[in-house]
Amino acid sequence: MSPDPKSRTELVPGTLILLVLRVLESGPLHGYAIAQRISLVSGEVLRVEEGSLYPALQKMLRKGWVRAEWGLSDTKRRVRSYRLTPAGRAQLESERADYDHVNRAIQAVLKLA
Amino acid sequence: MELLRRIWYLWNRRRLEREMAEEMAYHRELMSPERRANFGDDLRLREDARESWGWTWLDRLHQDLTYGARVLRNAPGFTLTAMLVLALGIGLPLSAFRVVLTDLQGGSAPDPDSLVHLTRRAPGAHVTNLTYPELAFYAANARSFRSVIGVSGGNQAVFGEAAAGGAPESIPESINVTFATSNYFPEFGIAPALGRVLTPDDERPDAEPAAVIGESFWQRRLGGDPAIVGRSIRVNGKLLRVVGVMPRSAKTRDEVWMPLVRQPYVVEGSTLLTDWNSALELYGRLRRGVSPQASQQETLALAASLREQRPDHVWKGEYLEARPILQFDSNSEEFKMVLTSAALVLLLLVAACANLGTLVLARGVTRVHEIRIRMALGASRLRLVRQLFTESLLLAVLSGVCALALSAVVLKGMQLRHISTASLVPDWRAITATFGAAILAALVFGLPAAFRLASLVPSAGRARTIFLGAQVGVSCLLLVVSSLLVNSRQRLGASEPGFDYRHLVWISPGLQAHGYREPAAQGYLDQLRARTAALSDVKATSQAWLGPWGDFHMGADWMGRQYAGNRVDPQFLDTMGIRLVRGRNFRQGEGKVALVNSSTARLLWPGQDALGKTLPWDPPGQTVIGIVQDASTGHVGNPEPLEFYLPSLRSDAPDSVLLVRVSGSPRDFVRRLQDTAIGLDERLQPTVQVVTDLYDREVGKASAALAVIAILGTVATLLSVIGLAGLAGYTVAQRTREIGLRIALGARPSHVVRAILAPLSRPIVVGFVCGALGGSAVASVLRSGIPTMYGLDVFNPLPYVMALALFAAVVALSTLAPLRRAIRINPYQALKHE
Repeated sequence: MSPDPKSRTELVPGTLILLVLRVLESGPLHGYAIAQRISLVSGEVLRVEEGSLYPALQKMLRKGWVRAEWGLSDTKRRVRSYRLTPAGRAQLESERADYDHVNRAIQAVLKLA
Repeated sequence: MELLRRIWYLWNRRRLEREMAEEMAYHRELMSPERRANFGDDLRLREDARESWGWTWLDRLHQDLTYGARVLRNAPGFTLTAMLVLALGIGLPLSAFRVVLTDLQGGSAPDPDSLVHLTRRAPGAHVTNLTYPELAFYAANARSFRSVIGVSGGNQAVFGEAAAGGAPESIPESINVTFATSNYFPEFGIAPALGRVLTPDDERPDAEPAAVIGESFWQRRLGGDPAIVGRSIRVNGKLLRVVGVMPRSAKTRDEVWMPLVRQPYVVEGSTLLTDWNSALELYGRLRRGVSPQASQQETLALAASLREQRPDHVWKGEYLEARPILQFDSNSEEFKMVLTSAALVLLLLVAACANLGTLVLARGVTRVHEIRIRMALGASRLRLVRQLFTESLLLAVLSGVCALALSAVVLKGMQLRHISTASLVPDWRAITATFGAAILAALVFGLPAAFRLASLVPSAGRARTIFLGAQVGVSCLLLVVSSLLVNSRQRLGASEPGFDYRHLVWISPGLQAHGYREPAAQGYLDQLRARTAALSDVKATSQAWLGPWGDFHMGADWMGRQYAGNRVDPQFLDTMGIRLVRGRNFRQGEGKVALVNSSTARLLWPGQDALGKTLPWDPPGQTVIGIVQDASTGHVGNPEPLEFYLPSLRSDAPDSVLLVRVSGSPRDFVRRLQDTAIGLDERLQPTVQVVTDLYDREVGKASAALAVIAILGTVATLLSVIGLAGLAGYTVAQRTREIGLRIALGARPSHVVRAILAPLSRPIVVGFVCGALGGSAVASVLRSGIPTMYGLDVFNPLPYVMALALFAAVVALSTLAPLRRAIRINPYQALKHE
């Protein structure tokens, strides 16, 4: 929709789960907040599509990386927030390590080649 | 863990769905208005999210099933026809297999591979039965066997309930008794239905005589009262204590079981345990690790040492052939029969599948419109195939349920007629087989049709031709076989056996079993004969070794032909009513002579005079002194019987029979003959056979086989009618416009008919030729397996012509309605859309 490529960059495939895990590391959040937070922290460069966020969350639930719990929002609405589980933390570490590894390799290639 | 979470999700999915909807709604509310439109379709998003749990296939299946059920419900005619076809196709073979399996199982012996049937074999000789002394010898000496089992079944006896305190005895009944060693029960895995089976304790000489009774006998005669265990019954007048009830099974048809060593107790004077002429069935349980071949090596050595003691009873080079009980002799006639029957019933399933294939295709043409719309709306081809196949699967499973019900009905019918004792409630194997067959059928008939329909240009193509050919082939095969059988049955009915069987009775006093030896046996027979001859209405009597059409046969195998023989006295021809054609009859006490019938004379010495020739087989030196007219005394219904008769031997007497020709009804004579025999020795349990009854029984067997094939043939033909009608209808519907155009251009009705029948004609012709060839092959196998089918002539063209005519009628009948529709197509309406 928005023609400005700077304002909305698609996520690198496979990194959505890593980002969500990282965002949840600092505390439980609900779906909208997760998307907001990623957008905010990345300086509005990265945007999470709702269409991929919820399937990703369901997958993480299935894998047991996060747990969902219902609570009340500031506006006294029922919201479902996601909390990282120990398995999720371990997954975050391993994904982060993987990402760093690949990233370093890419950087090396970019610098030298 | 993950699997648990998935199942938990499935369990709570309704709640979770709601929660997700709520969560997404909240998300959307928080978004800025201009971006809200970006959120996308709620439903679609939820579906995507749901997919990650991996249960979508369940949803689709549910959808497909609901849709399939609706489609089937909306076409009740098609659904009912298809279910009928498949239920017949699965249910009839299923019933047949359940009956055969029950027959084969007996008591489902544990570890059947190490349980072997033992028969005497030596170079050039084979005898299936052994004697008690041999049983004792091998049981004591053979180290290959953990146990040796001896069984003697089907021994006639008289049953009467034990009368208590002067109460009148109930009517005595003739029953069959099995005598068996006590290890028979555990080795064959027979558990009692009630009480206990026989144990080694019952074999001790001081034990109380014990008996086990058969379940159906217990229910029929003893009212199924559980209190029977511990009560006494009388067999041949001797008291026996009932210790248990034997479960129903085809191998255990006898009424009473007793320890083998107790045989002399109920059969007075019996020398079974000491003489070398008795006939027991022997089984052995191989020790662990011993192969049947190894046991044969051992019994070869053992038999040689036994031969040193009894050279007259043990052959040179004899051993006990050991064959696992479950192993069929693949050369035996029985095996061929079973295989052929199995193939025949399975053909029905093939026909049913082929049929449904054409039906599903034919129905598909009415759905082309629907399928195109669904494709236009974005359904993928695979999704459509899955949808269509689910319908077939649903149909198949429903038919499977009907097939199980049908088979229960068939088995019930067979139980009522005492043909089978198979249980009505299907076991897990029957259920697995049914649904396995149903699903397989769905694959065969449903999948090609589904692919065909889901292709962009639905047309029947090759699948149709193959389906049609298969179905026509099967129907024709069964028709040809039934036609051949009917033909042979007619010949059987028309052919006279060549002797006066309507006024003939024979009595077998069972002297051998009661310890009679020569010359006492001959003395008894002479007395019996004198007393019988004195009875009124007795025309003639004769002493013969084998009763006509009895269960025992003697014969010679010469140049690939079977010659049936008997040893008889000079009165035999007169009593049987067999005419002497040339030469002379035996004289009293004459030896080394033989009578042959005309067919034997012609076959052995073509173009020569048989008189004075010597019979070519053992024992040597039998000179032909007379030629008699053809008579089939060995088997019923052999139109060209090959028979020979030798003079009686003195040693025949203990198991000879007395033939009696009477005037008037032979049935009225049974009791008088029995009384006469018992009057001479009241220990005897004589059997009296009315020869016309034997005739009826044999004809009945042939009729039963015929009935089964005829039912299969009728069902297959019915299937053909349904299938052909469906196919012709399909063709007409598919080509309506083309035919309309042809009619508009001046085609006459005959052209139209030809245009429709032309594509059908090739598979029909090919199918018919294959069916006829297969039918004649099947019929030859049947002929070799059923003695009364000797008259079956596979080269007789008449049955084929009749089958062809019937099938042509079927084709005409089933294509009549669609052809009428085709001829009446109105070109204007048919072409309106163009």
